[in-house]
Amino acid sequence: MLKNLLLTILATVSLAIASFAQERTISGNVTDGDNGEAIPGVSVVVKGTTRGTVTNVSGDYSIEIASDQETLVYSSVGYISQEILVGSQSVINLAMPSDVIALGEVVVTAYGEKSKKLMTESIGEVDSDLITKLPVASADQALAGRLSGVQVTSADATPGSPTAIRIRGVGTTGNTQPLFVIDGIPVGKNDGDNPNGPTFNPLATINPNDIESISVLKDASASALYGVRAANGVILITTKRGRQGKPSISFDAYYGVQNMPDLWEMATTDQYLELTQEGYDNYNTQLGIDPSDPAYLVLHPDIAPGGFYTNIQEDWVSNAVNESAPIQSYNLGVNGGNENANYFISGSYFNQEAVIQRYDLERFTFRANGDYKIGGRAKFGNTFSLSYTEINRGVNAGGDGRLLRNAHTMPPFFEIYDYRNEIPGNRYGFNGNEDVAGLTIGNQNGINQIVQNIDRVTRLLGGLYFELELIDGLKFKTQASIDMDITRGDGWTPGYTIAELGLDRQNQQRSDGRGEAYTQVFTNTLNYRRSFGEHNIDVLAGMEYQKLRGTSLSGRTENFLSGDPAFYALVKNGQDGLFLGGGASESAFVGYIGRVSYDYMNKYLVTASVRHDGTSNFSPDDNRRWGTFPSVSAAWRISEEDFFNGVSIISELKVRASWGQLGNSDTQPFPHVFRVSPTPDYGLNGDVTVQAPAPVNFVNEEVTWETVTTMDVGFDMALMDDRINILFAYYNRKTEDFLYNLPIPAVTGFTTTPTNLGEVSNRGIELELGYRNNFGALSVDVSANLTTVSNELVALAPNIEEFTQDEFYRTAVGQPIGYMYGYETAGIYQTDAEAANGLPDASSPNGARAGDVIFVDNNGPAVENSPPGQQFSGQPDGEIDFNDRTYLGKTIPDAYYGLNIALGYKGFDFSAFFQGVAGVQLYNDFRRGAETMQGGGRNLMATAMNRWTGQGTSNTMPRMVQTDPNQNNRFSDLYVEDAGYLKLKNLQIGYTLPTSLLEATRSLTKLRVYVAATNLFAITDYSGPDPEVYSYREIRSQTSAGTDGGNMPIPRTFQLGLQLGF
Amino acid sequence: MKIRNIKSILLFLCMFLFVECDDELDLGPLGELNSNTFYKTEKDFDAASLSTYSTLLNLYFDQNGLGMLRGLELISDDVRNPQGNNNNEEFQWLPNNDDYGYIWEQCYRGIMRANVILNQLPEADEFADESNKARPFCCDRCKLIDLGAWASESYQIPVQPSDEAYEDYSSGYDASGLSTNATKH
Repeated sequence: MLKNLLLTILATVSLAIASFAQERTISGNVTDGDNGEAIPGVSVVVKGTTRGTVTNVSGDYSIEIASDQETLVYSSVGYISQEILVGSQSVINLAMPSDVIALGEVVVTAYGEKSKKLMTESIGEVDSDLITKLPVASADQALAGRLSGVQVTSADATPGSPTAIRIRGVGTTGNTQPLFVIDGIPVGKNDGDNPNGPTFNPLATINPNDIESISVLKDASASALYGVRAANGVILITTKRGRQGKPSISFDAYYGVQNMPDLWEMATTDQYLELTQEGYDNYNTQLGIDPSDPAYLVLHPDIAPGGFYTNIQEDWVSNAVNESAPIQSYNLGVNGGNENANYFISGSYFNQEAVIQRYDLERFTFRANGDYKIGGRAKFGNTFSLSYTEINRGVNAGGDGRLLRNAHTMPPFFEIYDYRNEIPGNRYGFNGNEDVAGLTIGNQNGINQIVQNIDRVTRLLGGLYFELELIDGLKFKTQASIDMDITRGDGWTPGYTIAELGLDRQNQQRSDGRGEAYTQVFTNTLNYRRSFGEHNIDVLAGMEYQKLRGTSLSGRTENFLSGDPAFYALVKNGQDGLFLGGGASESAFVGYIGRVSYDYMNKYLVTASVRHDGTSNFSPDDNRRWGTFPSVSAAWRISEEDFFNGVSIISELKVRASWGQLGNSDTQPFPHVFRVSPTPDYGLNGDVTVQAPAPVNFVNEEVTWETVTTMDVGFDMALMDDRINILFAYYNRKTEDFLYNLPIPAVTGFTTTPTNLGEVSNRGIELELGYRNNFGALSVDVSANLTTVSNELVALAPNIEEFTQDEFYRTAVGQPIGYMYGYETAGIYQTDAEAANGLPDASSPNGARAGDVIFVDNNGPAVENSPPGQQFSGQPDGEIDFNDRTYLGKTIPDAYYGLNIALGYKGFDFSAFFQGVAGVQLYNDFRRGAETMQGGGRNLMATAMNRWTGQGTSNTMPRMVQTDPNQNNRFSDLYVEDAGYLKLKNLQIGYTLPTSLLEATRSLTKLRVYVAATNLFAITDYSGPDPEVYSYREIRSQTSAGTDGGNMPIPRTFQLGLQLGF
Repeated sequence: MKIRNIKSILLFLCMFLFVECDDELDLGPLGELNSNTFYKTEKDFDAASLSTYSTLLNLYFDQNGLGMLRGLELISDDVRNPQGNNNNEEFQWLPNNDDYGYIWEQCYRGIMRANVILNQLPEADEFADESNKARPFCCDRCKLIDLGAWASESYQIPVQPSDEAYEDYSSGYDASGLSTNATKH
């Protein structure tokens, strides 16, 4: 027994000595396998334990190990993980091979992630580097030209301007914006709640620096999991999360200066007078008015030869422009973590002044995202962001061009300021130009300086999630999120008279509106992932409930005892004119989600998904508010096949196809409810108003959402070791029951009722090319994309040709949605004899004269025995009237494309980004207004000097003649211009200090400075300042999209930036 | 065994989180009336009856030029040298003449509003005094009597037979031909 005891003691002691002897420190240095540079932040962990460390700035590390049998695991993002058995080594240096393929390998998809190689769906992704390249307030503007199938157009260049996004064409005549999902929270179509159309981009409340990646789900298979709202595609925005490793701090800042591009050129005072005199002369001659007749037109004494105002030339445009407007952004982010928790915290400040006077956007954001592990199976986390955005402005509201267009068209002899102090009691120092030359026009430059409007948005966007791995491979996740918007808009207009500012607004007016909107989302999902030999399966089942609610209240009063801001801050201090407004709305969505992904040997892949969605918008009867949206997609990785092994040049070849159905429920809300509205009020005897409720809709219980069926087929190919990438897809989207206001007989008391009847088709191809290679120290990365769109309204209700028509646009069967519709011209009549032979014109009862526009007779009304519903005969009828209007152009481009070239050489980086659009037209409304060819009112464009003045002088611009008796200014092809363009959107040159230099600071891990220029130049035929324009407030739909009403052009910006890492 | 139990309990709990939320979808437009909340009380019908007259306002207090201006003023002598689209030669008030579509629309709208009231009146169930449904008549019976009288043309204003009425003017205007029994319209 004593022997046993001794042996045990000996064994224990020797074991202890042995293990003691084996406990030691391993140290070493980790470098990049490609360029030999030290890599900081590499995680070095003893396998199977929680013991670990991280390499320092020089790539050095040291770690304690317990025995020679332990293995060290080295891992870092962008490098292939390495495992090394310690053995007898005490110094382990490692050169880590970079994992080019691993970068961006994982793509964010609906309710999860997928490896890019194994993806069967059509999803485009843009990562954070590219999102922050452009100095813009909202991240969606940075998507333009980056992805195939995604067309992005800003309404104009106002800070925070709304953006129209079209994914694979235009699927409906109604709201055609895609669905935005931020961190799993569907936040709507990014179009605001204003029933009159958006003036502000809600995405401008999110800090672009917080975004990790934006995935655009283009086909049904990718988007089907968002069901009833995904018909126009889905944009998934994922914000940054923490990473394992020691805390790393990043600071990004830039300061830029913005300048207007060349604007429209207007006539000088001398030219104005010459044109006006000519217009008067031609009018008097045509009507045969005698000089003694009081109707004889002569120049007003103010501007007649010798008149006081003939020598005044005022530059209203320079006064309205804010040259060298600054734009700046400062962003600080911290991220870090260990094996159990990680966090990402950021704060930022952004400020952009518009290049027009008095429109400033300022934004503060804060974000805290975290993930925490509980034991080995559970995890919970949060996403939290808080932002405050404030817009301080004068008269301009979100791109209405009011100030810019006004400043251009002011008569050039009108004065901005009261230079000679002639206006008695002038409170503001401006000049109202009352009755100058018999005109009275509001001095918007001055009004812009004295009115005060502030729009504020406080946004809380965030959620909590909890994830539990129930059994191996089966994960349960529950998430509760909220998107809360608190808005406030207030305005103040001090009173002014015509003498002071050209308009009579004697009453001071104060308005104050508040709004509260919130969206709550609850999502529960079960996800099972398992491999059975070569079979891999991924099953997802889930349920989602979303509730939206919004209320608003506004008040407006007039006449305050004092114009002191501290006093009028309270709306109730106004003495009269109380006007109350408000609104309320609520809606809800419920969805059941199911998806199965199966692949065999990672070679044959198929995904099938379905969503069963219900919305509160439609009738509960007959299950009309529920719908099922199925989809399926499949892919075959040919390059993995045995017969492909010989072809070494092609490293990856995958063909894929998908089919599915999606819904658009953003149509008429509650069409099944018999709605009675008490507005407008009924006025009795002038003063008294009473409410007289009346029905407002012709109930149609059968209205349901629009369904889009989309299919696409294509291939992904990678050549030469993934150096060259080609992606090709053909898509075909068909909407079969978009919401259409069916005209009904007037005896019903209504003109239309909503029905699901129309059919729209969108077809085209998408092509993406990429080339990446290193030539020694020079790295090259080129990527290009091209998309074509062929859009057509295929059918409406039987026997109905036309969907809608207004003065400029028409949507009708056989044409793209919202095409320009107006008169066709054929030159100018050069002689009176020629004009006398012209056809009778319903708009010109007095007949044309020399110098008037020749309009073409294209068509006539449908003849007697035409089939019902036919509008036109198709033959010229010998008369010029509204039936002769024809197709003049379209707003949906034939193709759009982008090209990005990025070069890197020894710490220097260079990138150039081009973006363009082809086959699209714009209606130049500014030019039509400023070429009215009638003098004596607002100023005309300098091009008006090219008008017809005699035989052979012009065949494109008519003569000057007051009142335009021939209606030469009617909407015609004279004002529709080709607006295709190629822009150098962004040029950036940067320099990153080598890490060897940074070592001296012992804290900096990265320092990069860069200079960049945005919107340097554009190659375009369009005569206006900027071809990238969308009709004011119309970004939701495509039916009247291409009007340039003097929208503010996108400025040229030069910026200087700094990026630091600690 | 213990672990197994916990797992199955957890799985079971998960099921509960997938509860049907169909009732949450029963929502309606806020800030508006509808067939469930209006056309119920006497006050409702008092207010609603004004709405039929408001369409007449659109015609007579013409805000957009499509009502009285186009229908009555333009066809009169009170207009000089019409230009553009108002150059209508025949002024036909027919529904297929776009220029007068607005007048027809507003009239039908007023008729629709009146019809809705007549339709909803019998089903209104919150009247304090049911006989008030027959206003301005004292009761339903009197209302029906009046309707019968109208239908049998007993309310017709006497008018001279048409050939006699036009006889005065067919051969030109002659002041002496005016009779003191001029027809009243």
